[in-house]
Amino acid sequence: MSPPQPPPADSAEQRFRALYADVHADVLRFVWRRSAAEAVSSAEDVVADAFLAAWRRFDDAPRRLDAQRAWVFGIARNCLLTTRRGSGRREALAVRVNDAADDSGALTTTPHDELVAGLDLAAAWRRLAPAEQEVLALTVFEDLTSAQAALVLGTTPTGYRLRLMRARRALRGHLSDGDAAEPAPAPRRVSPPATDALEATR
Amino acid sequence: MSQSRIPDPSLDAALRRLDAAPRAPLDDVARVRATSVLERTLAVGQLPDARAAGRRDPLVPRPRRTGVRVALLAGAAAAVAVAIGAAQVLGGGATAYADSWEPVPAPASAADVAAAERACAGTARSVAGDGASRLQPRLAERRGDLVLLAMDDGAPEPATVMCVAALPPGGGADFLSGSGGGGVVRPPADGVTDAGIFERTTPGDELSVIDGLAGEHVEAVTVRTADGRAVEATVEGGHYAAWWPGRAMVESDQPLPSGAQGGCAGDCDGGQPVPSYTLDVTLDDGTVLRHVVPSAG
Repeated sequence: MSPPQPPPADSAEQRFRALYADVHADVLRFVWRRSAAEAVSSAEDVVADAFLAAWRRFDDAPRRLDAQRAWVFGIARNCLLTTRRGSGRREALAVRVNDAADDSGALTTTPHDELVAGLDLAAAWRRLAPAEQEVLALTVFEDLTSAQAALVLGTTPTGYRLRLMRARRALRGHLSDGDAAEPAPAPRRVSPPATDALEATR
Repeated sequence: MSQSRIPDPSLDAALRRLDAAPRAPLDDVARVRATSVLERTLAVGQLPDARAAGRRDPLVPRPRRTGVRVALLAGAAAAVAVAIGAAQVLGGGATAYADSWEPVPAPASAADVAAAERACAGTARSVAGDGASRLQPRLAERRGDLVLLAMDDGAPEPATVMCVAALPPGGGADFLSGSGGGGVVRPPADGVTDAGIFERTTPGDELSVIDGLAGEHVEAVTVRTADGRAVEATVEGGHYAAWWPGRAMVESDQPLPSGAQGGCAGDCDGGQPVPSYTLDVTLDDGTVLRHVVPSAG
């Protein structure tokens, strides 16, 4: 009897294993940012559910690895929304940030860096609407391109770029309010000024 | 100093220092759990059979069609009518419509608009359904024998319909092509959205129509086509639109056309049509944004 043979190098299983190895940690971090700080085990459960859905629909996956990463983020996001709301998928997920930046090892190299570091950015972040946090997080924390982030949110790249522009403006607005530590008011919609037309994001 | 002057990279760098889940290696326990999850997934999960594969899984995101693709698909359905209408109205010459084409449009008359509206009523109903009655003409132009009409419902994220009718002097109006969509956020005052594209690809008889939304400070849009044409679009009523004989899309095995923003998401394995034109956008303060590249979707 011959020993069991590993699957062919280009088989779906092998490709899925490669995807898992490459993105599992990133997906865990993605879910962790959008979960309660104490919910470590439930975050791992969500990630497991997401990868199970991804494996079952692996034929639908994009072919490029960077797009696959965004695709799995989108599945994980839908798993989180399903867990929290049962059926609705229209709601955005709030994204946690730490209370204070640990700048012990960070270098501030420009006047802008020093300016931002001196502001209560975490408080300003918490005044953003969840949808604004989510849009910014995909670019800042998950390091996705506009097209990849659009795939996660189920929108178009152009629509994502507009939402990103508005979210950045809202964050800057909260920073400049001078009372960023105050409790957040109801989310407000911020219209982009003319100077941001055709703004290149990524 | 105004906070609005903080550049994006500085703001992003500051935010990254607040990341609640910074990159860190998994410890031994987490690594074992991750391996266990993978093996359990492969053991429990089954690749879908052919029947199940056709079903939509609500957990699995699919790339959303952009305005470009929605319009292109709607236009593809209309292309059947295009061939019939063109043969009837334009006398059957394969490039008859091109003979009357002009790079600079003329305003359409009120009578042209009314005739085009009637010819395009079917497209309006198929695109907007019960909302068709709310569609109002926003832009109309004439180039030779063809009248292009863009309509929307005035909503913040409007439903739009673009339609082309053949209206030769002394003749009746016949539907030539139509497309439409909805849910596109209006651009900022000095920006434009990606255009919806209708393209007829019959060799020797190609025709392309584009229609997008323009901000209030956009004064002119010039389309630079891949075959070297400079087509002056009509900018009116919050829309820009133009048509020309030739292709607006090109089959590409590249993820994105040169200069496009963003990366590739979805099925990126070649053969996807991407816009082959660029736009020069002139603002009312004289600023010209040159070679604006439509996104590939």
